[in-house]
Amino acid sequence: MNPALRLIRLYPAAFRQRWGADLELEVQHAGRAAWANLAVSVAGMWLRPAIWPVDSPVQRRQRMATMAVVLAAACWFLTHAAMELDAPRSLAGAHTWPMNACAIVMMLGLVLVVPRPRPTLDAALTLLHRAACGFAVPAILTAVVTAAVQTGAYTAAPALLRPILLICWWTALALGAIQSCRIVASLGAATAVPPSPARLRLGLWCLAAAGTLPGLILLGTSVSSEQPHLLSAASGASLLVLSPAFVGTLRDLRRLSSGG
Amino acid sequence: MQINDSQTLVLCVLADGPMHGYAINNAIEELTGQRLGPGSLYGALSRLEAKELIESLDGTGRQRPVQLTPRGRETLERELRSMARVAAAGLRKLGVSPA
Repeated sequence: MNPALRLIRLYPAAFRQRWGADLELEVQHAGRAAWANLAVSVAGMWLRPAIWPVDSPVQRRQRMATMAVVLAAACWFLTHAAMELDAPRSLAGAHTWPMNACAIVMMLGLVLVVPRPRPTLDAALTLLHRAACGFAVPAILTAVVTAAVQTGAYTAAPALLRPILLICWWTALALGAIQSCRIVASLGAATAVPPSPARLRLGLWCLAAAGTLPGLILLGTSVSSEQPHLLSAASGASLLVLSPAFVGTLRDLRRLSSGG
Repeated sequence: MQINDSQTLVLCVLADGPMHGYAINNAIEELTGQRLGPGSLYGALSRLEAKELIESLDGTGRQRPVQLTPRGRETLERELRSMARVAAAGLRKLGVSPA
């Protein structure tokens, strides 16, 4: 298959359904120069769910809410990894007040952006079913690692087994974050109500602040400390790289909110 | 100015009437001597549709032509007037009379 046609498959489904046929016709007449252009466009489109074709303004807000949750999950995971694995001494234990304050602001932002389940039995059952299916594996992995630590099996375990338990722990956290995003993305109009533009805007501001400040703190303390803290520095830099995505979603919300 | 170059170009060629994507790029090539990359073109179309500056028509087959909305026409006019003011001022400063 032509690489350009493969790249078209990487676009979000909503975009492909609307423009896929036209794009295929266009790339048949375009040369290799089109590949880089398509790749950049694919990446840009995934970062801007607000401009994907929609059936209603409500669907657009649902996508922006999902984007906010995905970004928040990425920020949370990066911050958590840096704090647990490689935090500079001045930040160790996650007990510094700026980091704690950022965690609270992130929770507030999530409460604001997450679609609210409809108060019906069907919606509750659907949500419970998806949560049970989505969180089963991460919950089992977390339980296994927690039991190993609590019973002392972790410290008594052979040296080979400890890294496996550690991998299980971080896999469980990553899976939990991914499944949270998938559940939010799968919530249809019958199950949940997306946040209003004002609530979404406030939530996005909270999440942007709660993602950017830890990035600055981690990068600043890692670079200024005597010992190198590469993971913390990389996590801090990654958090700062993610910040423009929050700003982009806020800008899309402002520009497109007139349409609903 | 509110919209970027590829979006302005798309709006500009759609002022002639409804077209589908491939025809839009042909018209842009005729106007500027260069085609837009496929990603740039359909990214611009998606943004313009999200801003409600263009809308889809029922088409035959898999492709659907698009046309300017009244809001898109207004935006294009505002954008072109703004560009014309900038161009006129620039040419005046260069001592060149506008064509």
